[in-house]
Amino acid sequence: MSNKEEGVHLVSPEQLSEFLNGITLTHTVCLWQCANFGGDIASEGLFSPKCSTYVEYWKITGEAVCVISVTDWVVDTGKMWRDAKQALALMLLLSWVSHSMCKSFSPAGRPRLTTCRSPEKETFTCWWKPGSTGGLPTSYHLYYRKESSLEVFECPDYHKAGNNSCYFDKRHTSIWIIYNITVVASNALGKAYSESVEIDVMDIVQPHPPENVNVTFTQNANSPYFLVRWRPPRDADTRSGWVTIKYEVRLKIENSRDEEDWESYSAGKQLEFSIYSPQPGANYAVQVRCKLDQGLWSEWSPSAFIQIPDNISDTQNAVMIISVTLTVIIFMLTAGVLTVKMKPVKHFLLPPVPEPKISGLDTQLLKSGKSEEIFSALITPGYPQIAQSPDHQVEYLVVYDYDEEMDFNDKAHLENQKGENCLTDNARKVSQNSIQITLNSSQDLNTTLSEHVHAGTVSNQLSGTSSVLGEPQQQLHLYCNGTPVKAQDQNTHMSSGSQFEQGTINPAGLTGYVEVDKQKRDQKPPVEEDYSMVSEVISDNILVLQDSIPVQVHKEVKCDKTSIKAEEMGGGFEPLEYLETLTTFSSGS
Amino acid sequence: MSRSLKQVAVLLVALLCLDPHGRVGSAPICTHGPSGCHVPSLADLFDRVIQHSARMHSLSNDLHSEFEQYFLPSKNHIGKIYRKCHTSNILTPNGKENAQKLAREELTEVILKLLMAWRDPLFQLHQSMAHQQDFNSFSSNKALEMGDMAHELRKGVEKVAEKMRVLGMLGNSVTGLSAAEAMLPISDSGEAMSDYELLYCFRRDSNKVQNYLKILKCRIVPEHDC
Repeated sequence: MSNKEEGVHLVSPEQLSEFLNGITLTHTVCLWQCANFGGDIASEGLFSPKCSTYVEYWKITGEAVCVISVTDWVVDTGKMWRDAKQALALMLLLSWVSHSMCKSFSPAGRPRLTTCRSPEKETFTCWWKPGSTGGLPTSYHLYYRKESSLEVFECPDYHKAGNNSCYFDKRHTSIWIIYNITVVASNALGKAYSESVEIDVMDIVQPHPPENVNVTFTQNANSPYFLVRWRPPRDADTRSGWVTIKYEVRLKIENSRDEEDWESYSAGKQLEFSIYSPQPGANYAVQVRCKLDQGLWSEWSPSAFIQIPDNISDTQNAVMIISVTLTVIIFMLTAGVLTVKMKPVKHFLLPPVPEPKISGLDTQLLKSGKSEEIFSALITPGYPQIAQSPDHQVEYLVVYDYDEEMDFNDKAHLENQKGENCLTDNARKVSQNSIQITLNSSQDLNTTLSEHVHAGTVSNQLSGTSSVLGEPQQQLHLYCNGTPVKAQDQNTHMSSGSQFEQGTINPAGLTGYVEVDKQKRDQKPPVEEDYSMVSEVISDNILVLQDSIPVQVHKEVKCDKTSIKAEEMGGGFEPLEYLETLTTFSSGS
Repeated sequence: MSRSLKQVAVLLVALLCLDPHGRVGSAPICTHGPSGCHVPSLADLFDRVIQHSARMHSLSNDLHSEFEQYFLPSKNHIGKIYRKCHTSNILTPNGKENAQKLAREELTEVILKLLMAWRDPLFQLHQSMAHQQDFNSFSSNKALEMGDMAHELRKGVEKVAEKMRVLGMLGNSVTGLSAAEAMLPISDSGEAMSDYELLYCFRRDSNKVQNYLKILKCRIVPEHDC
């Protein structure tokens, strides 16, 4: 029941709401205490209806307490005079009370629970901050309640954790349960209740910092490092698996005072950590902290210091600097050389690919479209000179089979200046045969030659051949020349088979080709020709020209003709034999 | 003709490839033999389930703090009246000594009971989070993942129990849980619990499971990390 007129308030928690609306007063204090269930009536404090309240019902052993603690309050002057009578009465009462206390005493100020922590998830401690003492000796009591239970308990140990603290030992600690904790400050003039705090031990786990942090420096030749070691905090129980500790290391160079310079490293569950390549000459400060499972990080351990000596890797540094400088210098030189001598270097590194060119053919002329000029440019004096360049290769291999060959070699005059006299047929035949010969290996040639021995001739042949083949540089001089007829015939044969020109034939023994060189002897300069004289082109280096040839040539032509005839008849000409031999080669090969 | 053949072939391939169940089942290709097959030891199994439970707890932690941050702005602890969790009926040890005093079989059974009790509520939680507009899909995905994890963890713990039974470490009192164990999250007043309450309760229970598993492991296979 409530007695509104008197301002003496006796209220049960259920009636509180209607009671709250009844009084309109303004006051600075929003505290209430009401007594119940025992007949004790106590009323204290005043309140304003704007205070939002939270009603708790506590039952402390021996005493029933109804506690109203108010969270925030608003001064309301609106309804101030509604119950002025009671207001005045109350105010007078209060002012008298406070006045009498005003000398230096006042009721206890409201304490405040600051923090609760559990270092190992088995016990926990709560600390509070006292309010004003009011000048009188004040005592503090902590009361707590467990989740879903109405029973109120008092703190089991006020002293273990120091002043203004409450330590809950293992027996009184239950994990995974909500604790509702309040601290009450009381002095002779009154009590003050702190704000209630609800905690679950699993949320307030914060271990002590790791212990015995020490740092040692190891000077390895290649990789100097220093090793940080520590011990786990003393009360965390990892042996039973109840908690798992994780560590974190941080370090900074001591010279700077800046807090930002810490470098942090996660160290997992291990009890040591290595830091590589420290700065020589620096003084490091190292700290370690830990946490249990998903709890809060501990405080940083006290710093451990280490001084790194100065002389590590000086030589390494010097070597590195020198090498870098050298590299840079070389690089710059190379760049300079390249820029200056771009073209020659380019030519050296990437030789220009010879483009296919027809000598005398001017592409510009082509573009201009004057064909006569082009072709006139193409026709060079002395054409066809087949072996213009030394690397010009020819398929022919011509082999002598007479002793006279040597004489001929010595004489070696080509009056036949035009290879073109030689008969095309012969030339073709022999050329073909010789091509076939060259296709065989030189060895084959030798052996086959030996098989078909024709007395001296073949041996000569052989020798000639071998000499030809064995010494690629030997030059056979083939002529379509006037000499003894036989020989001539022979020679003409040979020469018909040979190149048209004064060129000497260099057999290229390795490849089977015969190189034809330009004749080294004195020669008459070749007769200028133009293409109007060409009657036939046999291969890419044989042109058969027509009649406008000197007399000698004519003769030779005739010779050839006769010899050809002999060939065709299959007579006993040695050339024919030779030819046969040749053919045998080809067939036998 | 060839076209229809092709179509048939494509269809066959598609049928083979598409698994209507969407789950890949894996069957062990080696039995208990040591030949070329790594049969995980009990310690390995324990490590796996403990890691799994740690992940599950951290996920529930994240979800709970997200919820708290966005939907309950007042940090005022006073006024938060928690209803009882639906798993409050399961007797769980509330501290280290109590957990250590409990026999292995009972501890294992407690773990399994807890995990079983959360099977349906987590599903409900995911459903309700997915339907509400307030949550972004990220949160409701986390809830789904959490439900899957609880399911997997339960399977894992059952495997561990099986292995322990095979090795003779467990008596036969650990029975398979019947469907009756699966509880509905109904509080005292008969109303369904809110999402926030569910999250709070699951956060607490996942922490319990993690701790119990670690205690069990260091009791049974204390070689490493203990």
